[in-house]
Amino acid sequence: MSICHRYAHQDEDATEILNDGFLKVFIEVYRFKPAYTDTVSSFKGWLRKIMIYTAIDHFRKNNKHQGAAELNETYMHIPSRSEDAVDKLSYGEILSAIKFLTPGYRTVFNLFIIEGFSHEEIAKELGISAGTSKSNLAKARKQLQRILYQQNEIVSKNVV
Amino acid sequence: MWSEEFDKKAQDAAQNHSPTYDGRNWDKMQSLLDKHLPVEKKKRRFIFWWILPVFLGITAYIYFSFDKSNRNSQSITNNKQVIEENKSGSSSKMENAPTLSSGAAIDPDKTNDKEAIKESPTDDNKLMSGGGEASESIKSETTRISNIDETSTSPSANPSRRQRTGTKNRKNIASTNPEPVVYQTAIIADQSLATKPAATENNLSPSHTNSETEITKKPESIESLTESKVADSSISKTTVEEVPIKPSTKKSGKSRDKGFFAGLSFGPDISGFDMEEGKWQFQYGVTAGYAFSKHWSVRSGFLAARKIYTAAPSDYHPPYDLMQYYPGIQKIDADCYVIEIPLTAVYSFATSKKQNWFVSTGLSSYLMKEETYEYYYKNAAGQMEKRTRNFENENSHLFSIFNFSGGYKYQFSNRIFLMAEPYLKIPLSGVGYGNVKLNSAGVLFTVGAKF
Repeated sequence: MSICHRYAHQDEDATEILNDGFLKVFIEVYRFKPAYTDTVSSFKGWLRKIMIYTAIDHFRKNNKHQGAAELNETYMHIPSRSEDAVDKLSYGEILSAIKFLTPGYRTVFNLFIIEGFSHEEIAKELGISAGTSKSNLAKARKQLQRILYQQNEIVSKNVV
Repeated sequence: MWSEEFDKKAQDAAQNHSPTYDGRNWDKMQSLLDKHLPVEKKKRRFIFWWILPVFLGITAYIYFSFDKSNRNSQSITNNKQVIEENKSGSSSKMENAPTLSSGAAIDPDKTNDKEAIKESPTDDNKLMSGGGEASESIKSETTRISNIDETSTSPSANPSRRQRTGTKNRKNIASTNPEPVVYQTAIIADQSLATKPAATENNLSPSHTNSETEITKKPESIESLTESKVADSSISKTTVEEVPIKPSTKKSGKSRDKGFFAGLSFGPDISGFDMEEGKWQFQYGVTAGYAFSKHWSVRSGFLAARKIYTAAPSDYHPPYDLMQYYPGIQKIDADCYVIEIPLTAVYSFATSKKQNWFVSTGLSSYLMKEETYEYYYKNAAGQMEKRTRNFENENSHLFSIFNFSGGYKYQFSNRIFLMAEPYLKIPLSGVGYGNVKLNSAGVLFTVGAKF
């Protein structure tokens, strides 16, 4: 559910992603084969991937109209006020801020930062170019700064 | 530069995030599962659960109704008593002759009967422990019984008498002596105690069915589902571990036709030469077998029963010339405890998911665990006497009885079944100490389970 929450703006969307993902698990569980000796961990990884791809499918179904975003060179510059500003952020605040991202930026941010996908893999899954993926990631970070600043008045570092 | 710390913190936040559980999410999941993975509910036919108790009730009724005629018999310990009876007619004397075995002919407590037979009615009776082989030493004592009352046939007047049924076609073996004197003789066999087989007490409980959740595996519907849900499903194109398809957890209907099965068997049984002089007894045991296919299977097991019958001298062929010792033998009353081991082939036809009919034939082996014979004969003075002989574990007849039956089988579930089969057993050679051609018939009910 935590995975689904990161890819959805609303709880209803997260629930829909979760249920669709588990339905696929029930249907195709016979195809699961542990990749290593620890069956539980292997199954967790398999389940995680199913949820991610279900979230991607959900995004592609609901955000087809979104075209490729152009690279915006304008960055928001907010002077740093505290060296440990990042440390003051709680997990909940970060996840809440991620949920407020634009769906496209949110998906790219999740796939690149949290899931560890490369830009090429993201481009292949989302049907965009690698350059678009990079630009969306940059814009996602910008948006996060703005959101976090507005929510907590926390200063973020400049994006270079 | 965007802080790498923030990326790390975002990763930690994602890893440590535990959203609260909302039960309403499961309701939506359940509706999805009902829609895409429906599970057929097994319909139970309540009415068929009453078949087994009805069959048990019918069998019990048959048993108890025929057992009423055996209530007046006396155990062998009562032979000590001096029975004073008035004179009776020849036929009634035979009928009222005192017996050894207890009236409860279908008494499963073999130990009581054995003790009754073992214990002498006289003071000199002793149990002599035997060696390895069953040897026979005869210790006889004669007690003169006077004044046999032919009219005193009621159980209250003469509790030592065992009423016999089936007087039709009985040979005129009654003495014409208006006042015969019956000598009651107790013969104690010196044999080691034989252990009764424990096969009759086996209880094979049917195995429990698995409670696995069955997920229908339909590759075609899976593909259609994913395509309908998501326009461009990427599951099948990704690096998710795709492996050879595991076998489905749901067994096919054909595989259920093969395999082992076992159950408890019981039912009424009658033995005799023409079945009219026999006595209905209760047989019980266990049945086990293996089904090779939907039609063919093989069956075996252990069945215990008492075979009580009356034989004429012409039907009785002992191993040595018994008639030398009892030249004027009139009749022989037999009470045998037999363990039967059948081996039959079964052919099923008119098969369906819930029921089928079958015929079965094969050979059975009889293990004569205990034989008690009462010889009624005339002595030199023309008086009727009776002598009793007892044998234990002396005779066995391997694959000497032809077994034929046919019946009906009903499946309560995939595992539990009930069978009812009338049968006929015809010996291919002599049975027991007297090598008699003992036929048997009855109905066997079996409650069992497949594995």
